[in-house]
Amino acid sequence: MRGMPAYKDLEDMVRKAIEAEMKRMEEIIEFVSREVKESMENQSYIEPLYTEIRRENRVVYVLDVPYLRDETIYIKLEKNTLNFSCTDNRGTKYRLSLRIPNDMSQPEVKVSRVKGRVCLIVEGKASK
Amino acid sequence: MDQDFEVEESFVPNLRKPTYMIVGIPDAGLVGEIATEYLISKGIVDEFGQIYSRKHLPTIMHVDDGVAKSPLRLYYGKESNLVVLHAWTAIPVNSAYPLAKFISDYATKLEVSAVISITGMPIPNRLEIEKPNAYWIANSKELAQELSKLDIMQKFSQGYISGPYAPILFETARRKINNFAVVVESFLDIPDPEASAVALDIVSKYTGFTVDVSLLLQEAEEIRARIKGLMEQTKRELPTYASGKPMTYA
Repeated sequence: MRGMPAYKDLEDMVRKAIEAEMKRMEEIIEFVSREVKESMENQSYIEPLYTEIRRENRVVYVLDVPYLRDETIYIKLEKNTLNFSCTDNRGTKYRLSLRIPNDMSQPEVKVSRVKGRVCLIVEGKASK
Repeated sequence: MDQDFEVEESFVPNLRKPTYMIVGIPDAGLVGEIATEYLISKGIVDEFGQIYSRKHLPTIMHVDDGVAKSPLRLYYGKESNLVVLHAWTAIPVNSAYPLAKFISDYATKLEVSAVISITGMPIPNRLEIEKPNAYWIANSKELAQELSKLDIMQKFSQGYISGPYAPILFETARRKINNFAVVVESFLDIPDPEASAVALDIVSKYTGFTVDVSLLLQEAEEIRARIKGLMEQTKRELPTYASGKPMTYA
């Protein structure tokens, strides 16, 4: 039958369209799930009090986390964002994202505990 | 009495001379706030009055043991002979002058010898110093001469003071009431109980009533945990006082 290939093409076309739509839906579901998960995770965190001291080519962040469990401190420097998280010994989770100055080249982070506070020193390479 | 603020006293304290009124209002590092709260929590002073203002206080009530009360209250210690004015909430900038006027009126009524304000002076290297330095700022030449003779704190020679304690210095001076601020090096926007301990030690030596601050230092971590919300509220309020400048600076 001469009409069959045309019918088959239409069937293929519809199937492909359905598959593409299903893939798109799966991506949307995955995106929404990720957003919901992230949002729920953020709700279980609180932002610690902090103070910022800027010096030449150096920024010092002093974070106040009473009853901090030292071993839970997590720090990640991504581009110009310094992400900090930790947990205190009462189970409270803390999270803080800090924007470090754009003009700081190749920044490095040093962490210390001073008088019960967390001290994050972000230092850039000195310009030649 | 200034109509802007009303005071409701449950009793009138029987004061001896000399009488000191200590003011604790949230500002830099909550230094004054933590100091006066310590006097309250340790039973050194007891509540005797609540201060109300529909016009000048935020719509916040402080809930104490299940009872809603004004966030601005008066305390008195029979043994210490101290009167304390303590704010449980940050004071909006527009309320600072009316409150200073109220404090001056009330200090006149009680015939206090001096109003003592406790505040913090934010410094960038606060973490690096072992014991914060303390300074005084007086509201008159005569009081400055008297304070110069003390070796417990230094004179704050030149600079600025902004925030809720600045108008108190001005209003009390106009009414010829002695007022000085004990200014202790501190953090700006994280609570600093260690600076409060230094301030209380000085107040203790000045007034002659011994306040043991060792417990304050032991409880510092708990205080910092408890007072986080007030520090956040104060942090939002502080920039309105001095266009982003710190509270006291040289």
